[in-house]
Amino acid sequence: MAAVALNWWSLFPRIVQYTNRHIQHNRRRSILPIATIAAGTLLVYAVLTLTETVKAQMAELSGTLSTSTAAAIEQSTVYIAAITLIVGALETAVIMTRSVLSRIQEVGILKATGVGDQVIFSLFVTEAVLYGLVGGIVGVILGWLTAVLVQLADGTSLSSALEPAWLNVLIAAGLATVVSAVAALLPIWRIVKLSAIQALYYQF
Amino acid sequence: MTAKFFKVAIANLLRYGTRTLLTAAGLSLAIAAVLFVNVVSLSFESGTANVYRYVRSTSNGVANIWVTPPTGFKLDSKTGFFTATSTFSEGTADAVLKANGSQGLKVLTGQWPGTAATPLVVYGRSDRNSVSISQSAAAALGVKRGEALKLKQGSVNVAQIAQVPDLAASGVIELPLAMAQQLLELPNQVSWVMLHTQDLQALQQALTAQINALFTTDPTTSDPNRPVIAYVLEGKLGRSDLVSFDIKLAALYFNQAGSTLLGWLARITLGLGFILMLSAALLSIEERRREFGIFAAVGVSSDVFYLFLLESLILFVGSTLAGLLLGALLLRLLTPALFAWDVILKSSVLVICYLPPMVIFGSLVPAQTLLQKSPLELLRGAT
Repeated sequence: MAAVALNWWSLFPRIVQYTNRHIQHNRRRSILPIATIAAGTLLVYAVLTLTETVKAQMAELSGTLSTSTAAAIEQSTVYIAAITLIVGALETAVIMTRSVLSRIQEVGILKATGVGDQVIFSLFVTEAVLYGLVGGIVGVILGWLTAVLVQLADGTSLSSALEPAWLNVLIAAGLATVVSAVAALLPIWRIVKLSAIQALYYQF
Repeated sequence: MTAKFFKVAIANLLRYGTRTLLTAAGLSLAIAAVLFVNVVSLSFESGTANVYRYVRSTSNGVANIWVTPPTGFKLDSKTGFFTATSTFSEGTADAVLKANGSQGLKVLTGQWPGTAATPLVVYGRSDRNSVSISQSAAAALGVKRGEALKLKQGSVNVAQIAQVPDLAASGVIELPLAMAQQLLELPNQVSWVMLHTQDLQALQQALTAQINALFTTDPTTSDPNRPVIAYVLEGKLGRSDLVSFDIKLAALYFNQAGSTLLGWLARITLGLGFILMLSAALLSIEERRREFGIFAAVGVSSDVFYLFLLESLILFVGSTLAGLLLGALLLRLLTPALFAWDVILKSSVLVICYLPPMVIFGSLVPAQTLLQKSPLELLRGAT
């Protein structure tokens, strides 16, 4: 394990260089996963933050509403948040799996030219983490902007609307990065086991 | 020819099973999320139209229960007066009254253009024998106490000019039910029945048994000054009407307090759902760049274009249906109280509206743009 980590660190500059070249060469193809991850993260952040506002309003109304009604609304908002969270994660997983599977032939070429499995593995995981990070950060910023605008329209004061919900930032951006890496990990794990010829002939 | 293309398109989709499955999963998940959030938001938003709240009369321990048609009541923001959104027959009203031992009265409300510039609220009650009008209505109509008020059919003497402080902005005419029915041209119709009772539970049982109606009250209320909610539906119930009244009442409070928050959640999900779907569709074109290049090189671009459109259409329609089913299933399992077919259908139509722009921006335009490039450019794979 330590050897793998050492190997990864020593290869890191070259991995970044390769990833950078790949992104430069396939700009549109790279933008789509990042855009999807950003859209998913935006959704997760905005919904989590807004459902918290809804819950806070329900707490204020607890004297007016019956307990069962307040519970019904709170339950619905929790479901909305949970569904969005799951869908956001699954969309990220789907797009990363597609992104990896569509590059199987590239893996075949790398293997045929003698690049080791560990390096190929590191290449793809690094790229997935990078996509997740960039998409996550962009999504959180856009989500924060959306939540601020909606809260202002709803009558929240500027100072409290501007304050980012740090826990939601962590959840949304962390989810994007982790899910992106894990979703890429699974197909790569399968692909690196293929021989060069199998990878080159693989039809996605 | 189309049948042949259709067969090839299906075969193509099946041949690249993993790719098809992943694209469909991306599309369906987005649609399911959009449907779920929209239905929940719409359920709370649309509930307001059917809400009515009644404050229990605390004098002598008598409670008043209002029996309404299925569409319930709405608060007219212009007049500040509650009006029924529809009426029901006087025969049913009599049956409801009978269930309570005839302890109550029938009411018909509506708007009458009158002679004034602003419409007047007509409030007909079966327990009233004389005509009473509010000060603003008297001013608008130019009548005084004891004077004759000209109505459509004959005229009546105004017995009283009432002080109605909370309705000062609007004119109200309170008159016998039969007269109100004539004036509003709604013969044998009532807006609601008001029942007086000292035993809420017994009344609920009697109503349920005798007129096969649904009746809900706020079970948690113990404070006599807090609202008691009554809601009775006339006739056979549709599934959509089974949303609990408590939840509908919540909608009223929710919209007052949370105003547009849930609506915003729905709009955000709608917009982002489309972006997620579009991104899934565009990626499927990028994945097939080389394939397009090969076909363009052998000169069958137009056929490929047609085939690709057909494949996309099948995929989009199939994924939309799967997504709608998944969304409906989630609603049924997670929020059965909000599972209403009419709201689901309304949201589904909204989601189906995605299809034309999806086909145009996610398939037609990008495929056309790709096929305009040289085969060499496409085969190189760079973007």
